[in-house]
Amino acid sequence: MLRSIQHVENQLSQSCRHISTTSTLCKNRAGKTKSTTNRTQLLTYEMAQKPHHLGVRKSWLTWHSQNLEEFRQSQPLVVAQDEVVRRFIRGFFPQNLIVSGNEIVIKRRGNVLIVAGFLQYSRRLDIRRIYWMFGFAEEFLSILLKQPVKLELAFVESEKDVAYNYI
Amino acid sequence: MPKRKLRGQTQLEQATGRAEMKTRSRTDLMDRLAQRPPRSEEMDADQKWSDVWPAARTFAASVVPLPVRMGSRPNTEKRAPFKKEGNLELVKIPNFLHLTPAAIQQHCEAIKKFCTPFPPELLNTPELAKTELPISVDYNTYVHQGTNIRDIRSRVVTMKVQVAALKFSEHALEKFARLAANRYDETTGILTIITDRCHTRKQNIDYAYYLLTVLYHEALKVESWEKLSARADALKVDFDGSTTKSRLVEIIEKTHVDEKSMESFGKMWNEYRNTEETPEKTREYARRAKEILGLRKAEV
Amino acid sequence: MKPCAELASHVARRVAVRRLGGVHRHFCTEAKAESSLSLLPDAGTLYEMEMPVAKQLNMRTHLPSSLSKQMGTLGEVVTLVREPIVEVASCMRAVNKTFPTLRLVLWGPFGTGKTVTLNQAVHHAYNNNWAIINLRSAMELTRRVKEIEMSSFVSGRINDPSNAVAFLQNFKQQNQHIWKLLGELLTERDYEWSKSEKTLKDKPITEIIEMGISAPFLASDCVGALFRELRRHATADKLEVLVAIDDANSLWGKTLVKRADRTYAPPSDLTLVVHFRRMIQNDWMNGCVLMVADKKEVADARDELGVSRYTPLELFGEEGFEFIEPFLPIETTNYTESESNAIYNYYVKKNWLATEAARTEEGRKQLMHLSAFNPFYYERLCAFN
Repeated sequence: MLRSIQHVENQLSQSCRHISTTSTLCKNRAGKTKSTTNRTQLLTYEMAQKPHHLGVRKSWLTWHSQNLEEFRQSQPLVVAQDEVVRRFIRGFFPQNLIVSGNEIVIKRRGNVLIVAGFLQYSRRLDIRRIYWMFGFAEEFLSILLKQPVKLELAFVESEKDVAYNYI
Repeated sequence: MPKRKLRGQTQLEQATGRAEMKTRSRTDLMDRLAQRPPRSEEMDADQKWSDVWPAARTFAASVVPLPVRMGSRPNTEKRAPFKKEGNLELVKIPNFLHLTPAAIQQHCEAIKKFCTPFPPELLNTPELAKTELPISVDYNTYVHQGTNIRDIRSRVVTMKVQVAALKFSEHALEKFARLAANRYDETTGILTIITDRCHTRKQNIDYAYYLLTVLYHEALKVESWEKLSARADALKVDFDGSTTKSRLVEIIEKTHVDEKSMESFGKMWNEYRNTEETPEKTREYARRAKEILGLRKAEV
Repeated sequence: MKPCAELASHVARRVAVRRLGGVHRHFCTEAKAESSLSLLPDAGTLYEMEMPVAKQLNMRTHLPSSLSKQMGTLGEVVTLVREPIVEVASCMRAVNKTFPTLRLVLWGPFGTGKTVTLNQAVHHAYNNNWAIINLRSAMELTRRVKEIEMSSFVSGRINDPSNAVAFLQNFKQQNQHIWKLLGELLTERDYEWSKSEKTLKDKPITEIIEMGISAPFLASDCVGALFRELRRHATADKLEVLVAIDDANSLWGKTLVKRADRTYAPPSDLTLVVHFRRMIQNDWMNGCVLMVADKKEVADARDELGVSRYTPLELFGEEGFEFIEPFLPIETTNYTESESNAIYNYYVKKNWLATEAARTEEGRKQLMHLSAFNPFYYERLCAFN
C-alpha cells in the first residue's frame, strides 16, 4: 500500500504542465514529402516539384477559361465540376489509382469535358470490365454535369512507371 | 495404359527442342494481351498519320512513335528527362498532332468543293474594295467552354460605309455630316454605325440599314429654314468675312502687301482653325504671321 | 558728319540684325537710331539684372517661385537669353507710332520659360524707358477675387477693389524710372469718380494713380482711366508702352465670381478684365502687347487621363483668339545642350550644386538627360543635387 502511494506521488510530480517559451517556427511545409532512410518513398514528377515551380516546370492539372474577366459568374461552377469529377474517379476506380488520384488531368474542349491521366493495374486486368467501367463513368458524369464527358485515361503497369525519383 | 508421355520422354523432347507446344486457352490470350507491345512499334514509317490521329486527343504514349522526353532534371548530363510512358506533363499540354500539314491539306481539299474563288481583281488592287464594296458589316460570334452557348456581345453590329459612294452634293454632304455627328469621320470619309439596340443580330443589321437610308434621304432634302443660316452656324470658320481679315486689311493698307500672300495666309488660317491644332501648325502660323505683318526675317 | 552718322547707324543696325537674327521691317522708312535702344546680349549667354532694378520691377513676385527663391538665396537675378526673348526684343524694336500695337503670344509646354521671358522683356522695356503695364497673372483677376463691388459707372459690371489697388501700386513701383515723364502727361478731360472726388482736365495722370491707391472703391475705374490716357499718349508718340500679361488666356476663361443670383459671372462682366481687354486691342499705336498662353486655365487636376494642349487657339478659345488676332505666336522650347551647359557652368561657379557627383562630367550629362532638357525640371534637379 505504502509503495503504491509513493509511486503515485512520483508520477504526480512528474506529470505537470509546461509552457513553451520559444517562438513558433512556422516552417513552410507545402509540397514537401518526408524522405526515408532507404529511399523507398516514391516521387512522381508532380510531387517532386515544389509549388513555386507551377507554370515554370509544372503545368496545370485543370484547364479552363473561367478565370478571365468575362466569365466571373461561371468560375465557381467549373471549380465545383472539377472537384466532382476527381472525387468520382477516385471512388470509382479504387484499386487503380496512382498516388491517391493525383495524376488526373481535366481539359475542356468547347462543350466537352475530357478527363485524362494515368491509372495503374497491378494484376492482369479484365479488359471488358474496364471498358464497362469507363462507359459507365462517362455516361454518369455526362448526365451529372450536363455536358459530354470523355475519359482518355491511360494505364501503366504500376506506380513505378510514373516514378521520377525516390527519396 | 494412360495416353500420356512419360516424364523422361517429355524431358528429352524439351531438351532437344522437339516438344509440341500445346496451345492453351483463355488464360494464354490474357497473357498475350497483357504483354502486347505498344502500337507505335507496329507502325509503318510511311503510314498516313491523319488516320492514326484524326482528331484532337490527349497524348497517348503508346500511339505516338516519337522518342519524346519531357521534364526538368537538376543535371541533365547525369540523368535524362523523364520518359514519355507515364509522363503526366505530356498529357497536360495541348498537342497539335491532329493538325500536321498533311492533315490540314486534307481538310482544305475536302472543303474546297464548297468554295468559290476569291475575285482576282480584289487581290491585285485592294483599293477597289472602297469603290466596289462600300458597305461592310462586322459582327462577332463567341464560343465558350461549358454548356452555355449564349453571349450578349454577339448582337453588336458595326456597319462602315464609304460616304463617297453616296455621291452627295456639297450641301447634302454638310447636312449629312451634321445629322451623323461624330459617326462620320471627315478625314477618312467613312460613316460608322454601331448598334446593339435590338435583341438579335439580324434585327441590328436591319436597323443599321434603316439608319443609313434615313440619313441619305434626309441629307438630300432642302428645308425652307436652311437659308436662314448665318456665319455663326457654319461648321467651319472661313477666313473671308472674319474679323481677322478685316483687321489685317486695315493694317496692311498702310503697307503694300500683294494679294497672293494674303491669299496664302487665308488658306493657312482656314486650315489652322478648322483642323486639329498641333505645335507644328502653330509654328507655320507664326511664320506666315511674321510675313504678313511685315516682320520677316532679314535676308542674311 | 550727318550722312556718316546715318550710314554708321545703318551699318550698325545691319550688323546687329545679323548678330541677333533679328527683325527688319521692309516697309519702314524712318528707322529708330540704334543709340536709343540698348541691345540684348547674344542668345545663349547669361543676362544679369541688377538687384535694385529687380526690386523696383518687383521681380520677387513676378518671377516663378523657384527662381524668386533662387534670387533670394544667390542674391542676384541671372537668366539665360534664349531665342524667344531675342524675338520679343526685335519685335519691340519694330514698334513705332504708325503701326498699330503689335500683339505677341508666348506659348510652349510646361516649364520652358514663358514667364521668365516675359520678365526679361519687362526688364528690357525698363532699360529702354518704356512704360510698363505688368500683370502678374490674369487668373488673379478672374479667380482670386476677395471682395466685389457692383460698379456705379456701368450697371452690371463687377469691380474688384483689392486687385485694382494692388495693380496700381505695382504700376507705380515699376514705372518709377519714367515717373517724371508720366507727370508731364496730362489728362484729356474731367474724370468724375463719384459725387465728391474728381480729377480735372489737364492734370498729370499720376494723380489718377494716387487717387486709385488712396480710394479702393474707385480703383477699378482709375485703372480704366489710366489705361485710356496711356493709350492716347502712346498714339501721340509721347511714350512707348509694353503691356505684359501673364496667363493672358484667363481673360477669356472661367471665373469664380458669383453674381447675386448665384451664377458665375462671365469674364466680360468684370471691370478689370474689360480694361485689360481694351488694352490688348490694336486700336492704338506705339505699343507692344506681350501675352503668355498658359495651360493653368484649362488644366483640370481631377482629370487623370486627359492631357491639355498648350497651343494658342486651344487656350484662348475661339472668342479670345478672334480678339487677339492678328498676333504673332512665339514658341518657347526645351533647352539645347549648349544652353543647359551654360546654366550648369553658372551653377557650378556659384556653388549651387551641392554634391561632388553633380560637378563631374558624368553628373552634368545625367542632370541634362534626367530633366529631359526641360528648364523647370533642370532647375529643380540642380537645386537638390
